[in-house]
This record gives sequence, structure tokens and C-alpha cells, in this order.
Amino acid sequence: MTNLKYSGLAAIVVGIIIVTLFVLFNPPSNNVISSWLIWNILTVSQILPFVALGIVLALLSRKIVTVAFIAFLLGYIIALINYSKVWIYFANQADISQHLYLSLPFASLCSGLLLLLPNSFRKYIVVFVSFIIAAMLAISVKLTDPTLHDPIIPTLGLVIALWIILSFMICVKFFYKSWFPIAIRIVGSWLLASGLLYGGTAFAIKYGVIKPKIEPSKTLEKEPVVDDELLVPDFT
Amino acid sequence: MSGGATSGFLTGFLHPLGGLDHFLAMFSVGLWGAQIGGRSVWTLPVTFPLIMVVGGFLGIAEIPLPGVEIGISLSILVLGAAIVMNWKSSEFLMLALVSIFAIYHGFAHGTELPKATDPADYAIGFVVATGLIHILGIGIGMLAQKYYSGKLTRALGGLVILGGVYFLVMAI
Repeated sequence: MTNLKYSGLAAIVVGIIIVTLFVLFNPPSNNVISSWLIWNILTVSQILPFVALGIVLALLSRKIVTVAFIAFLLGYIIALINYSKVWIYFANQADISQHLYLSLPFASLCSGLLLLLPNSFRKYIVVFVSFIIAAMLAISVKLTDPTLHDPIIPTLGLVIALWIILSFMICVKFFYKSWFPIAIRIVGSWLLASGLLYGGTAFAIKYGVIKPKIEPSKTLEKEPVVDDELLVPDFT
Repeated sequence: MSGGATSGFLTGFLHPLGGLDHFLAMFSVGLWGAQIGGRSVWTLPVTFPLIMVVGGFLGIAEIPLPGVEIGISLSILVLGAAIVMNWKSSEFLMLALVSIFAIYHGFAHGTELPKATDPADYAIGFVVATGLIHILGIGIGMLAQKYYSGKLTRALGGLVILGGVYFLVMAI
């Protein structure tokens, strides 16, 4: 077990090194995958729900963790297949390119709620939350996929999510302190508040439809009625 | 997400840190929670950002809230006084008080949110910064309670009152 103690930290460090090297050798200005990683997947709003899920899974039994991971994979696959239904449902929302069809606020809300609840309640909703967080990830991955068809994008999205969840899960399991429950609840309230605020903003901002300004043509109004005789060309 | 993801988070993160009035109020919430001890250590700082959302919605929806600046100044003053007097009441009353103040602070932040280049990371940035100020207050409060038997906490409460008076005079 002591050998595993630093594996979570090592996983985080190794992952950061791999991503940094990849981005250095494939500058985002020239490489779509590198650009997608930096601007769409490794953002604070995308990462935090995975961190929260990892923290909670560290506090639960192995059986529940296994079921939660299965639910996570199922949620990801199902959403990858049915993403268009969500797109259609939220099509009228403002700023869909920002909140990615409300996937980011939903993930933030669910993970925040998971952290805020007492541990005895967490075990009942963690499977459902895992499913939702994975589904929201799949929706945002499909929406931001710069290649439109390359299977490496959904695969990378899943690998990065699992990397973050597992790394934080192992870290919390081996470095648990007595003050963690307080810190976890405070972080949970951050996620819940930011999800509510961000989702609320998307609902609150209403863009007016720009209609063309139709005015009667002044030239037509002032134009005198043309006599048919005047239309006859004068050849004299 | 747009290219302004990092700047959105940073702008949001720096917003509560940039204004001393917001900083003092949030620091006081953490300090007060640590002074009371027990469940209040986390219930007060957890309630603050959650209720702040309500104020944020009012700000986003441009629903007018009267006396925002006075409300924020009063929040600093009252929280400082509560710390100086080591005031402990029923949890409901303390949470209600913190909730009223949170609405005023949330309103001030909410008016800025729709203008942000990246509202997602802006919202996370300023909520995280708010939480970190709470944690700073809790940390200092716990250390002060442990090593200075609460005298330092009360002295800090006195400084908060001075800040509250200053902001109240400026608001009026």
C-alpha cells in the first residue's frame, strides 16, 4: 500500500509532463488536437467536476467505485450516440458555444451537490452523478471536436477525464486529513454556486432577434405616377 | 470554450480580491465561523456563495436592488462587530444574517458576469476566490483561537469594523 501512496501524485505529474510535451511539439496554432486540448478540455470549468468526482470516490467503498466507473463509461458512450437530442433540446439557449449546451453548468452542479452532501448520502447518488458528468463530457467533446469524425478526439476526452478522476481519487485516499470534510463541502459550495450562476446566466441572457428595418422607399413615395404615354420612346 | 478561457478565470478570480470591501466581508465570514466553532466553521462559508448566487441572478437580470453599496458596507460593519463581541446565536439567525449580506455581494458580482468574455470560467474564478478568502479567514481564525485564546480574532474584528465604517462613510 505504501508503494501506492505517491502514485496519485506521480500520475498527475506524469500526465502534466505528457500534455506539456505534446503541446510543445505540436503548437496549438498548427495542430487542431493540441488547440482542442488547451482550449476545450483542460479548462477549469471542464476539469473541476472530474476532480470532485475523484475526491468523492476516494471516500466510498470499492464496490460503489466500480459501479460508478461503469456508469461513467456508459454515460459517455450513450451520450456520444445520442448527443444530437440534447443539442436539439437546448438549441434556443443563448451562448451555446460558451456553455456547450449547458453541459458545463450541469456537470458543475452535479459534482457540487455530490461534495456538499454527507458521505452517507453520497453513495446513493454517486453512480447517477458519474453517469451525468460523463454524458456532459461527451456532449461537449462532440460539440468542440475540430476534426468532426476522428475517433481520437472522444478517446482522448475519456482518457483525460479518467486520468484526472483516478489521480485525485488516489491522492485523497492516501493523504486524507481530518479537516478534509470541511474543505470538501466548501469546494462543493463553489462548484454548486458557479454552476447555478453560469447556468443562470445562460438562461438570463436573451438575445433579441435582429429584424431588418423595413421602411417604405422614399423615392417610390415621391415618384409621380408614370403615364403610360411617357414610356413610349420618343424617336423624333 | 472560447480562447479567453484563462483570462475569464483570472478576471473572475481577481474580482473579489481587487475590492477591499468584498475581501473584508468574506474574510470576516470565515473568521466568524472559526470563532464560533463546531458546524459553523463550514456552514457559514458554504452558505455565503450559495446565497450569493441569488444576488448574482438579480444582478444578471438587472433587477434593481436598493442601497447595494450601503448594504455591503453594513455587512462588513456587522460581521466585524459580531467577531469583536464574540456573538453566538442560533445557527438559523447567523445563517440568515450571512445570507442577507451574501445577496448584496452577489448582486455586485452578478452585474459583471454577463459582460465577461467567458462567463463559465469567470463564475468559477470569482466563486473560487471567494472560497479561498473564506478559507483564509477560517485558517487565521483557527490559529488565533488556538494560540492567542481569541484575543487576536477580536482584534482582527476591530480592524474589520474600521474598514466597515470607512466604506459606509464612502457609500453615504
